[in-house]
Amino acid sequence: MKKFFFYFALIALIPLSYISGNIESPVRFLFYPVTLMLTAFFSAKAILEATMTFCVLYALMPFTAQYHYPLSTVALNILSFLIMGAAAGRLSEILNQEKISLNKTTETYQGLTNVLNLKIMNLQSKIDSLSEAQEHLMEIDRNKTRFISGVSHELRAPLSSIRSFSEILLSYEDIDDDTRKEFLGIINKESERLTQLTKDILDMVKMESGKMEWHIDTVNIAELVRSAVKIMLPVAKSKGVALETKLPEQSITPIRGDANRLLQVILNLISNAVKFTEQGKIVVGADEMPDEMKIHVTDTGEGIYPEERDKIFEEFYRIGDDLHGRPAGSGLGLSISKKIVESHGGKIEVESELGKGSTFFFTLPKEAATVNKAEKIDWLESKGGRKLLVLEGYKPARQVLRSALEEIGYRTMGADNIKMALEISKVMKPDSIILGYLENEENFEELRTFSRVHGIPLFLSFVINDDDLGPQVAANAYISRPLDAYQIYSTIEETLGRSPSKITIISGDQKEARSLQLMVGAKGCATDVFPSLESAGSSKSLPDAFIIGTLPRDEVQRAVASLRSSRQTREIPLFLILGIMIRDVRCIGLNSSEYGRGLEKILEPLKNNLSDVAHF
Amino acid sequence: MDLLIVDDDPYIQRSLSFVFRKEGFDLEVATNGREALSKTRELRPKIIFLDLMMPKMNGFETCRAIKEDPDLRNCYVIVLTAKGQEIDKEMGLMAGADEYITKPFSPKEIVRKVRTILSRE
Repeated sequence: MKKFFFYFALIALIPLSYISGNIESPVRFLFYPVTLMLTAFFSAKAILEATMTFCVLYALMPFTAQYHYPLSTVALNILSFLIMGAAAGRLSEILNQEKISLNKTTETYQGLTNVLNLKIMNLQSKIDSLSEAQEHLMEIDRNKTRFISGVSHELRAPLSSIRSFSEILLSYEDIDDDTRKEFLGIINKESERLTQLTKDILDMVKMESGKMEWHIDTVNIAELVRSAVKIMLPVAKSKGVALETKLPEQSITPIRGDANRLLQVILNLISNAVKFTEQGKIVVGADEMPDEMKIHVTDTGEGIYPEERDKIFEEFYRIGDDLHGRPAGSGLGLSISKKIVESHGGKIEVESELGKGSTFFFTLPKEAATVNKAEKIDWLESKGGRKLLVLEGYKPARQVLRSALEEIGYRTMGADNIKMALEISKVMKPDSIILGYLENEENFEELRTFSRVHGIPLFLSFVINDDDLGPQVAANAYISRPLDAYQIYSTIEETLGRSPSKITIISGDQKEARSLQLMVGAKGCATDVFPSLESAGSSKSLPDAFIIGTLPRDEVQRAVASLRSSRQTREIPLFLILGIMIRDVRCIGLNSSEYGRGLEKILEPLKNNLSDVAHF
Repeated sequence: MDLLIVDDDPYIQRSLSFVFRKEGFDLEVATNGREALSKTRELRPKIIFLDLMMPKMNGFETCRAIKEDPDLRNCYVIVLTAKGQEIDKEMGLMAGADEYITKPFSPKEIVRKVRTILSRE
């Protein structure tokens, strides 16, 4: 378009010269500034072409004009035009070269910006996860400190009595028998309390850290209630409080759970009820609901203030705190009961009316949520025993991890270094590799490549110090410690259940390719990286998507064109990371299959951070 | 009046009062802060043993009330508590306590301490 304008401008000079009546002026002098101005916009070739055209027309003029000039003047003019045209052409060439080198610099800069952006994204997500982890750790730390300070306070009270009274007994000879007996009684009682406290604290700590051993079996709740009442009857009687059971006539469906621990909960509730009931009765019962069992303990005690109803389940909170005298018990009974019930997948609650009494009840699902044998078999059958390779340098840790996995129903293999893991993997083809602590991370690159190429997800079960490109980024998922069977199971199955996608990344920038690979790989996709379209063509299988990163300008155009024109690759989603140098690329056909939309989700973070990722 | 023992734990009351009576001291017992304050006003004990965690008026409040009263501030207040943390100690001392003893303690040592304080006066 511009070119036509140029021609038009020059040709317009000819009739102008007719009208002006003199070819010598002003045409000849207009030619120079016009040509010069246009050097900025046209290539050397165009300028030369136009100059030639002008010269030919100019040379024809003397024959048609009214006036005749000496041929020498015309020839001289034409010569000067040609020299001017050549000079302008050269100038435009120089200008163009400058422009190209400037463009190249901009391209490089843009490419660097892309890489930096990706780096920033990686860092940002790391910072996020770190601060999340820190928050979590701080919360755990706060809870621990509170618990320890509570424990220390609780231990000091009985210890104090024991120490004081034993010292008194040792120091004074002249104590009468009754007082001596009284003091010995106190010492005995306080030792008992200390023992109970230690037991409760241990239970609490075990449950907190998931180290409690559950003995899961079939439990008959009615039987449990009856035996609890039998145990507590003497205590209730001595206080003059009636203790009754209220069980349904027909037999109750047995549930699965830890009988001793559930008995502990019922005993705790009854003993609390006895403690706070001065007269009246305590009723212990169980009801069968459609999908859960409901066990309740109702007393006719003084009731609980509304603001205390949640607090009583907290560690070391005692209703007795506001009463005169010595609080009995460890202050842990209800927190332990709550933990036991929750471990069984149930809930514990209280309803109370001041002055009339309280009802504590807890539910137990008929299908116990705890990891029990029945469930174990279930997992094993449904998953057909996946093969997992445990790569962990420290043998005891490897054994723990393997037995945890085998308990769930997986088949496991072990390896203590990457080289061995690679050898085993090549033969045994595991479904996934679980990484523990490695003494040296040599060959890690090879393992990562192997896992990507063969679509074998890597799981991390230990935090490894790394630089930017370390194992954390490469892993598909984490298995956190302490090991929890259900968590391991759900993490592995969730990741393996996802259909693995293969994505081809074409980028001339090694660093960018690397960042893209890690990001996409972390989402569970296998990746192939190629520096150019030609090398990508050598890949035998087709990917589920292409990502095109930094490439020379015309190569991007070529890549898009060739991928879109080939019947094989036409339907495959194509993502472009756009920089300034590929601004001329046009959208060629829009293919958005279901799959493409799924992948878009994977690339969402990419999109948000690099605002100009385009999907073709 | 030599001593006032303020604690809601009956065993602490029992052991301390037993020992001090045995050693010939004149003492009184209170089970909460409010009772302690009124007994201090009435009996003017030389030394007060004060527990921190008590119903109604806790040890910190009681201690401050005693130390802010010009008539009572000469009482020697010994905070006696199962709270063993530095911060509690600081809070106790900030409230004006003269000394701080954590449970478990030895009754004999406490008797020795009381003797020293009384002999100083």
